[in-house]
Amino acid sequence: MAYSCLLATLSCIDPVEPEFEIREGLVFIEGIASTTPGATFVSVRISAIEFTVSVVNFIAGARVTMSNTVTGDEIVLMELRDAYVPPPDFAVAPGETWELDILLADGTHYRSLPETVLKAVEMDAIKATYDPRLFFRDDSGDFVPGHAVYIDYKDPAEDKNYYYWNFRTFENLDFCEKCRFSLYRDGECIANPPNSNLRPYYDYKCESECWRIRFPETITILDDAFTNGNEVLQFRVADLPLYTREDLVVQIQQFSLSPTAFAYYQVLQDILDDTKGFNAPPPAALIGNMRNVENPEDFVFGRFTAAAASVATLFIDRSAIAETPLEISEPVITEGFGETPAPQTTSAPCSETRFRTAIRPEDWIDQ
Amino acid sequence: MLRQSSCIVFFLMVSLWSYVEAQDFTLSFEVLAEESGLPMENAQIAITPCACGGISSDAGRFSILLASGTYQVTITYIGYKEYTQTIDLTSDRIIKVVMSEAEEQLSEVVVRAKRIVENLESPQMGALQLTARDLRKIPAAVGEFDVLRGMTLLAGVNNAGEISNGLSVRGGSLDQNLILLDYAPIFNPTHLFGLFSVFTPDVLATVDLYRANIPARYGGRSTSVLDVKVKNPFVEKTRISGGVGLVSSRLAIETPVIKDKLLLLAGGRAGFTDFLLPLVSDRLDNTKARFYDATIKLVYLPTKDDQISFTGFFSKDFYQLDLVTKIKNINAETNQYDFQTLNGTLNWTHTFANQANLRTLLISSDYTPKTVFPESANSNTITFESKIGYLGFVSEYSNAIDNSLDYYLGTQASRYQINPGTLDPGTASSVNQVDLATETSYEFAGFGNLNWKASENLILSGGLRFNHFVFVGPYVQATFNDTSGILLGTKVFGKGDGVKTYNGLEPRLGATIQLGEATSLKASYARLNQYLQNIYNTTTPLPTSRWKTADPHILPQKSNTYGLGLYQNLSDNSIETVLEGYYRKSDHNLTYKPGADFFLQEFLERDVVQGQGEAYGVELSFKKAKGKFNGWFNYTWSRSFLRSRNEKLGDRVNNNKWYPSDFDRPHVFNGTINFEGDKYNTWSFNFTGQSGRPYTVANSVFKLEEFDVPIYIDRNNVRLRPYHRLDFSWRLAYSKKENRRWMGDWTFTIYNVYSRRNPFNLYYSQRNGAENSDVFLGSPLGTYELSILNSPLFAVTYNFVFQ
Repeated sequence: MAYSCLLATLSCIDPVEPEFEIREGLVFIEGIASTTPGATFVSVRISAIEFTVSVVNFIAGARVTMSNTVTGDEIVLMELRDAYVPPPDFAVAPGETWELDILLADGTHYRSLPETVLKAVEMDAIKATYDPRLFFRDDSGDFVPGHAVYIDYKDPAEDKNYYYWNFRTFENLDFCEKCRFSLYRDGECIANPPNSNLRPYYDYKCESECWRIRFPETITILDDAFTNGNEVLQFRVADLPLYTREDLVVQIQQFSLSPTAFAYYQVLQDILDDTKGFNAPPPAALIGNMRNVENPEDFVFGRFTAAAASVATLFIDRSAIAETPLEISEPVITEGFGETPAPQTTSAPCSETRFRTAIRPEDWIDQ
Repeated sequence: MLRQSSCIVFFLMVSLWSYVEAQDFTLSFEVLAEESGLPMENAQIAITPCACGGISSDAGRFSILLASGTYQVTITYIGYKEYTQTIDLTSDRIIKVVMSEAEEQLSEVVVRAKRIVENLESPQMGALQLTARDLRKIPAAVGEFDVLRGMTLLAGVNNAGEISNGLSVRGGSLDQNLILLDYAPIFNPTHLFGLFSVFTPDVLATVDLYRANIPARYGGRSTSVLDVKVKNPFVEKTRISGGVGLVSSRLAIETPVIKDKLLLLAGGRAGFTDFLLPLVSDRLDNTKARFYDATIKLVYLPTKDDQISFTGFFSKDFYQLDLVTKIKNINAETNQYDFQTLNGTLNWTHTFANQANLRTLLISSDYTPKTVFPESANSNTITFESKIGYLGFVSEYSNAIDNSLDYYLGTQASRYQINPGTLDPGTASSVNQVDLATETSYEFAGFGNLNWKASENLILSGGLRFNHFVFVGPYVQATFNDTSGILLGTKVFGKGDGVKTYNGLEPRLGATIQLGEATSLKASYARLNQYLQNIYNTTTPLPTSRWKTADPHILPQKSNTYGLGLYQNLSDNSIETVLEGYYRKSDHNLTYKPGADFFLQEFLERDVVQGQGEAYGVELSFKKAKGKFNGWFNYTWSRSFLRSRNEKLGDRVNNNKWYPSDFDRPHVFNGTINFEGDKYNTWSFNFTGQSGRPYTVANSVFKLEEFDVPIYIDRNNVRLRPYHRLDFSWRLAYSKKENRRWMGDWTFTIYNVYSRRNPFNLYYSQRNGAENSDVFLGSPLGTYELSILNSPLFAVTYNFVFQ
């Protein structure tokens, strides 16, 4: 058929070397004030070119505060692992209005516009359906199998609502480390001793229960312009590609955003997800509610967002799926006795990171 | 002796007489076609009184040995005028015969009507014209003869790429070009998201593009006018034409309904072969693509001084395509696009005794785009529908005083009714019914134009158009807090209340100075106002993209265009060369705030930013219209820039600095060569090469949550790879038999002969493990290039004419 490629075929999408026109000194601020204790943080970064390579550096030494514009309460955030965080028990509450203030060591002063925490809307139901052709992926040039997650909720009639959905998935992890051409010693992979005749990699079992955490690959938002006051059924909020056939728990977070926060996420969605195809919008500057107090012409990227979220979780049994998972599983190789230099090591801890946790997820079912 | 002598004398006289009588000469003919200059094979040559003759060879030659004398020669060829000549043959002679194409023998009534229409519809100064014959020669994608693609081969005309829902003329945006089909505006000129033009191929007469000295009778768009005319069916006999192709099939008929009174032209085209798509790729399982168009024209000649014509046009599309971004905030698995155009033009032309004419037009144009959303959870469909309804009245009096002075005066009244959208939830309980208020506006215009041949060497053209635009209620005028976006208040206007008026005075000036036999210099100036625009924040609009007239917030776009051109005919006027420069300054061009979404937005002005535009360039063209080799070349150097003017930092485009528009193409070269080897074979080549479209690369990449987010400050800071493509077509008249009422030809087309992968779009993507790491290297983001074509497109079409 003559117009096949004109309409849509796979072979017309090719990977090419990415091109950038890097500028130094661009400042990106990501600030989240959450209703969940421990989830509030602020990150301040700056673009730079070091040895001809583009990098993004965390700006340390800033004085970062969040203040309640009604009560006048001020919280000072402390620098911790490339972020500024409040005391662990800090959480914002619906109805409160907060402002973020950042004073860099060089005197540059950034401040956000006030941000009001809106009440979260509860989800009523959650379900997942398996689709062998979940979505098409450019890099592999094929359809990806996986689960689509749908939720039901009742949109409040009295308010204008803007939603943003985020999620985390938890998959059981058997092996916590894989060291390629190296051995796991003292909490890290250490290169093989010279002339050693070791295997290409070694796997190390988790010392405790452990779950791998994955995040969304697209932005999901909704304006209730056409659904105000209605019960929204089977709204698709997450695509979970079949990376492995391990069972998983998906934890959906439903945020209620302010109009300006929603506008920011719309731009983010345009930049990240809507760039393909025939009708891509032009790229735009991702500028939110942060500004340079002394210089209003200074571009400050990112945003300070204060939002409440409701949470729904679902356990998905993937043991009966026939399709091949996306991640290729290599044969397990563990250190054999006497094969590797002492001390022989066969396990590694499940260290807590953004991508891994030893805390059993809610709704997990052992099978 | 005497008797013997007498016998000898008689014998000598008879011998001499016999000698004189018997002397033979060669009479040769070379028969050529006037249009192409090519030899004509099989021309019939009849000679009297010898009752001899024959047919011409493939070189168009025929020779015969004849005794000296006087002969009557008649040469005939089907479709050509009969040639007769009396020849006194007293020596060898070679006669060169140029055969001209026969026009149908029409009655006096029809001939007069035809002449009046031709005079009225002849293109104005400054027009670029393509005839249906020109368009048929151009190799087209998948064999579809296409108006818009044909126009892009002319200097200064471009589009958004392989997929483009319109034309860009001299760097303007797609909606700055007014497209008319027999005076009725066409709001969506393409099928299948820009693959083909909507115009029914077999019914077209001419396509004129005005881009410099735009005649005063046209208004409403700020860059150019594309005036497409439907054939007038001035025929004595029925003629049927059509074609069968891979993508679509078509049929047209021209016939007298009542002799010398009522004449009919009707044509249609349909493309419905999408059921074959899954055979190509299983990714196309979900793709649907069907389209139809039809045109009808009736000409009624009630008196010798009056003619009334009606043109009707219908076009419909339905498609579903994965590579179109889904509409937001509607819970649906797919988006289906369903849109149609229904136009009608009633044209009454009265001719006065002094040969002046009064033309009166009633025009209606309805464009109804729909988007259908099948619900995820059940079989219900949610439907979005919008509509533009245009009604127009034009009355124009024209007169030619003498050979040096002609003028026209006219008025035009237009009504635009735009229904921005309704959302019908069907049985969906989760979706609300939405009905945006219909927007109504009127445009009244008076215009006049005078062409005056001031001297042998100077022709002046002066035109003036005055527009009065009124936007009326019902309307809700809203004010918002700039920072928070919160609605501060509204002012409500009732039905018919005047909300906002704009007046515009538009001079249109032209001058031609004849510098010699074959050289002229032309200068032009035109001011234009645009009151209707297509609102879309993408490279090319969706067919469902919203249209919006000027209102209290959105000001009319304005442009001032200056042009200067040098025209020179070479080689006995067989080659036309043109060197033309232009400069256009425009105001209130539309740009959009980041993240703008206009779907069913009640107050879309919040996302529109009006800015400035600037375009300039030089075009060099060569055209050889006749001969065995004919065609054209053109090269254009041009630039097109935009600048937003926005106070708020985050809403600025390119930080309010000038940036190249999406249609900025510094270098464009087009070449079309037709080789008409003989009557049966025509080979055509078309090459186009141009600078790549500007696009935007990021100025940094930051991590946000788990996303690598490209950060942009600049707009259109780099270019896609250059675009170039070679196309080829071979038209083969399949039969050499004569006197056939059925004539057919096969057209074989190869589009993109050398498999050029011209990029349409380049975009960043999140990296996914080690996929394509040899290409993406250490970049935090991957990049993909979308090409519409990656191989040659072969097509074959069978075309026929029966008469």
